Amino acid sequence: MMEFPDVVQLAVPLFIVALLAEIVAIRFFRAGGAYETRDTLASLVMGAGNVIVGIALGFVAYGFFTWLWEYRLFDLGTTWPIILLCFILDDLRYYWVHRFGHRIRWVWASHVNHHSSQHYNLSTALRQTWTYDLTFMMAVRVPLILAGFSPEMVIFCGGLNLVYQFWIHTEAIGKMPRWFEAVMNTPSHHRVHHGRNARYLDANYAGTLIIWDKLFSTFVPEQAEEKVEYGLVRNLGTFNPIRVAFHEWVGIARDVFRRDITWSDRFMYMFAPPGWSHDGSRRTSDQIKADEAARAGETS
Amino acid sequence: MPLQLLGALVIFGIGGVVLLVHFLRLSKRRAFADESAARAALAHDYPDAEIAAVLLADDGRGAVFSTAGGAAVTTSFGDGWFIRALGPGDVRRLRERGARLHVSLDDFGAPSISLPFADPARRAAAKAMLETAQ
Repeated sequence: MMEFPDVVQLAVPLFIVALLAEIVAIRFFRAGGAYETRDTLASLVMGAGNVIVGIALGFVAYGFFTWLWEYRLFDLGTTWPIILLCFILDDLRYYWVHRFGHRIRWVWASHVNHHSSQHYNLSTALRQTWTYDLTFMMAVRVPLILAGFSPEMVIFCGGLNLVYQFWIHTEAIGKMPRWFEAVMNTPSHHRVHHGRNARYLDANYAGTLIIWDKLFSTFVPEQAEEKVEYGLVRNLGTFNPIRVAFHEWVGIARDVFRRDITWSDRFMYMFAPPGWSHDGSRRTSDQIKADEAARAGETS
Repeated sequence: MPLQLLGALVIFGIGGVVLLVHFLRLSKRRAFADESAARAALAHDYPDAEIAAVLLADDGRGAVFSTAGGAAVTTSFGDGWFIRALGPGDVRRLRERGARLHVSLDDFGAPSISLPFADPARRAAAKAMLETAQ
């Protein structure tokens, strides 16, 4: 049986070398992008924490998948065409998990830390969640396992996807060749995804292939006339990794345990889009976009 | 990959990258040129905010606002900004320490801010603005 390596761990030396190269390119060769010491430290500690959580809790997802494997409908084997098919289908799985991560507050609570830097550089790529297992998004892989893709292969393809996404977190690269931009996720497409500008919110969820965004109408191209502003709609005021990792979970808990709301409100505070509030005091990304469109209409 | 090697790579990788960023002086600190720049920053994040008054911190790296809805505060955060409109209960505690005004927020993602106001009258005015959000 084919053995699948842990590609994320194997890529750690590559991550370090690429980070050093980007820093040198920004400092000495006027490449696009910026670094800030404490922001970088926070991002890298978040990345290290993600690796530690992965080692400590990796058995949860793997155990679930191997249990599920006993109930598979087929066994598709581990030939290269099957691995390629698995990668493409897992990329589609990634698109939807990522989209849920922006549209369901429970999942956003895990994913938000990846967007919490006001920078966009290779260290931002490593600002990863510590709480993914709490989202139960591993369930979205159930169809792949039941269809006959082995757990080891599915996890391997997910790792490849994550490694691919590392290099697109940079301002040092402008646009790739047109054919590449049309099919693949690129630095330009993913800059849009990290934007807090109204027009760039909730766009470009792709992992490796940008075609999913085009297929499901969430693709927004980077506009030369509107520079991407990075970070959150309401940016954090801390570099403390503990606060970065858990701030939205704390926010959910505070909202859910309010005394003056209904059970329906409590449910919505957990599962409605981020920014939903029972009294309308906050704004979701849809409302932010609508307000922005209204303002633009007034001024035109 | 052996865990010991992975651990060493992670620790020395983080240390090396952070030290390089620090010693190459890539970190920039931002400051407002004047009060209108601070107003523009608040209006950018809160387009509906009706700003009644603004007090710029002595170093230009922050400001306190009085708004129709209460108050707001901004401070430089790394080389970015932290900006918040504040309603009742959002400010947990206000303390004057020397020439600085310390603001404790009821916000797990932004627990505290410290702004320099050497002039006691301006410091008291900034404090009064933020007391509306206690």
